[in-house]
Amino acid sequence: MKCKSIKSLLLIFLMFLSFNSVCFASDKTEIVVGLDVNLPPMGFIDPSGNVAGFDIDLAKEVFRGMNKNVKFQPIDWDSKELELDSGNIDVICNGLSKTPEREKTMLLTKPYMKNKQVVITKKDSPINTLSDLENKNICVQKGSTGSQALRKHEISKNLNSIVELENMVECLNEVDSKISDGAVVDEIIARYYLKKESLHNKFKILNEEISSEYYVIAVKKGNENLKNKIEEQLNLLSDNKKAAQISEKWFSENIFFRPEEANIENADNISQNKNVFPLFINGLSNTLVLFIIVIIASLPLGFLICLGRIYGCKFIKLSIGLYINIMRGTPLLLQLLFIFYGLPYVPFIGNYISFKDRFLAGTVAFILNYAAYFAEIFRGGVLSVDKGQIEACKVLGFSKIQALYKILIPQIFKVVLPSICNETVTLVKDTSLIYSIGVVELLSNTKNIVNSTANVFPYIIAGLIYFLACYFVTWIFRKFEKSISF
Amino acid sequence: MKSIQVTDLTKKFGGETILNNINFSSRPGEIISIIGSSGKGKSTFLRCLAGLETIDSGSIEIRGKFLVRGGIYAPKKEQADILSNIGFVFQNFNLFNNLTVKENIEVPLKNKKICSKEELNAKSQHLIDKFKLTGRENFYPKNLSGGQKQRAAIARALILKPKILLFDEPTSALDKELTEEISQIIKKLAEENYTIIVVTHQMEFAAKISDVILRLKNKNFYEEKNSII
Repeated sequence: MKCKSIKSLLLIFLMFLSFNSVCFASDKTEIVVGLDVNLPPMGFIDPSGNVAGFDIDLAKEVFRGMNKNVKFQPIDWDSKELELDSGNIDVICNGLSKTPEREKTMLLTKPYMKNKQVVITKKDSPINTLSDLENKNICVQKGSTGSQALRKHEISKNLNSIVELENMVECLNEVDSKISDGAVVDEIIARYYLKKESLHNKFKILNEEISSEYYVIAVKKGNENLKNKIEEQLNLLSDNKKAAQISEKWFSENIFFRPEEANIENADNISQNKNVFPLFINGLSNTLVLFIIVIIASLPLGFLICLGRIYGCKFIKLSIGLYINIMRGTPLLLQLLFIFYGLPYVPFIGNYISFKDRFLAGTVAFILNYAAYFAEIFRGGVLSVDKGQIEACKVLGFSKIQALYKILIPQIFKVVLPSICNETVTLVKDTSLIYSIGVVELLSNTKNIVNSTANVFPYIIAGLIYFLACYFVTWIFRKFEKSISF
Repeated sequence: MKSIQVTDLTKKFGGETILNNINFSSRPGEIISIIGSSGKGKSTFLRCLAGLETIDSGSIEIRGKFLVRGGIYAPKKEQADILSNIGFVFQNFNLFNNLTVKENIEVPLKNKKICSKEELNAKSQHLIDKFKLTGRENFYPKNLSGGQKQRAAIARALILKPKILLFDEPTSALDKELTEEISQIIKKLAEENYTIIVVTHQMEFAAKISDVILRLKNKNFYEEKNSII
């Protein structure tokens, strides 16, 4: 019976999804173009706050030719397939490389530009060829062609680590602060960025490429009409030299080519591992390990902090008060980012305390945050214990340790149990925040799977796992509560 | 020998003098009641004797050893030794909420780690029988009646074999019948040569059990004539 109702719920959900994708965009007068605004010079927000870039200018010309209004919609690049599929956007025209995966999930035009994935390092780095990358740490933009190309390339077997970050600028920051030894980026984008920011003396680009690829425009699968019209316009723009003008404006040379003349035989064939199960398990295990370490470490730490706050000297009380206020008054996400990315930049302290390991940094941030909350919960518990209990310990000759162990802790434990349970359940879900510093976990890997397969079912699985984990935690705490008979 | 000798005890709370130059003494087997209206410092005096409050000046001598001499306390370790002569029964009993009756009675002795499990069991069983707690050994305090709590608290105070027993308002939570019962218990304990000091606001109760009744008035003790004796 239960199984049946879950099935029918799923069915309704899936029906809703398919209903969403019934209507196609070509009949509309407005075309919504999705873009990653962190991708200069293809698409970005210029200093005056408008979207600008080569692809923006190109898209404007293409749709002017089709008599359509264009709206530019910033999207999460990771979710581009879903955005297109759900009809939130009609077109992706933003340095989108052609890959076999994307050909399966989206409808792609013929290419209009060629690009390479290259390795960028610090200018003074000893890395000069791809073979120098052995045992090095490399970062890439999450879900990017560079990411897929790197994993496909044989050099990836000899790397120490590959870390996925939100965007190219973050990758360059990591290389700059030497957290990563190099980054795999799109050459066109990287060269433009270095030129614009005058960073040529900070970074260098290796001559050997990881892969090469073609830029295409994508529409929703099945919308042949729109795709053909766009290709028609691209050819037209090539003929009337408008495309060349735009190219020269952004790259000082014409690197646009007529889609009809595209010869893409030489393009590298990048394909991704189709078995998503290991990815799922990998994320799940990281989530679990993080949860277990944090709960084991932050509970006792919280208790110590609470004792310090109640019984410590004035200085200790004040410092702990400040610490707790900071931990409770700022977002956990910010604390995570600060501890991993920010610490190395803090004068003096940064030289001594900084984390090379992302998972360790994340764990420390979580422990510090949760210990603060637990400390306050314990403080409530300590204050709730009747003063008479402590006096009875005194007159009966208990040592301080005996009083703490035999009388106070059991009584505090009983009082705080429901609040601790609450926080622990929150922690189960909060673990997903560690993705922000490039650690894979259950939710981010699920998102990757969803994006590469354009199938939302993994979200439901992930949701179910979180739900069951929370349920299990609650169940354990209930057992505890019931075992306390006083 | 005097079991307690207090000389010139002064206790202040935030600059206000509560007890002023008090002199007091007691002997084994003697029951002394301290009466007086509430908030005047009766309980404070008792708490000073038990080491729960520190006095500002004066001396407290317990069975020949100074807990405080001229306002200066003995070293911590010695204090603990001296205070082990004193058993304290709180007004609201302060039984340990997380322990059963048996555990409550045993825990002070268990902490000392000086006797075997069997010995401990025999001692607690003796007290459980003596104070009519049989059948309630495994109850938690929240499941006990007022009288049972009172008796358990006394049993707990006795496990360490003190020589002096201090009762803070022992009848405040009890009805007439149970008051009678506690009177009998206290008298019996005095016969066993315990020194007993009782703080109470019930004159009738004090008169019934006491050898000496002291009234706390104007920060000092005044002996009352016991009209019943």
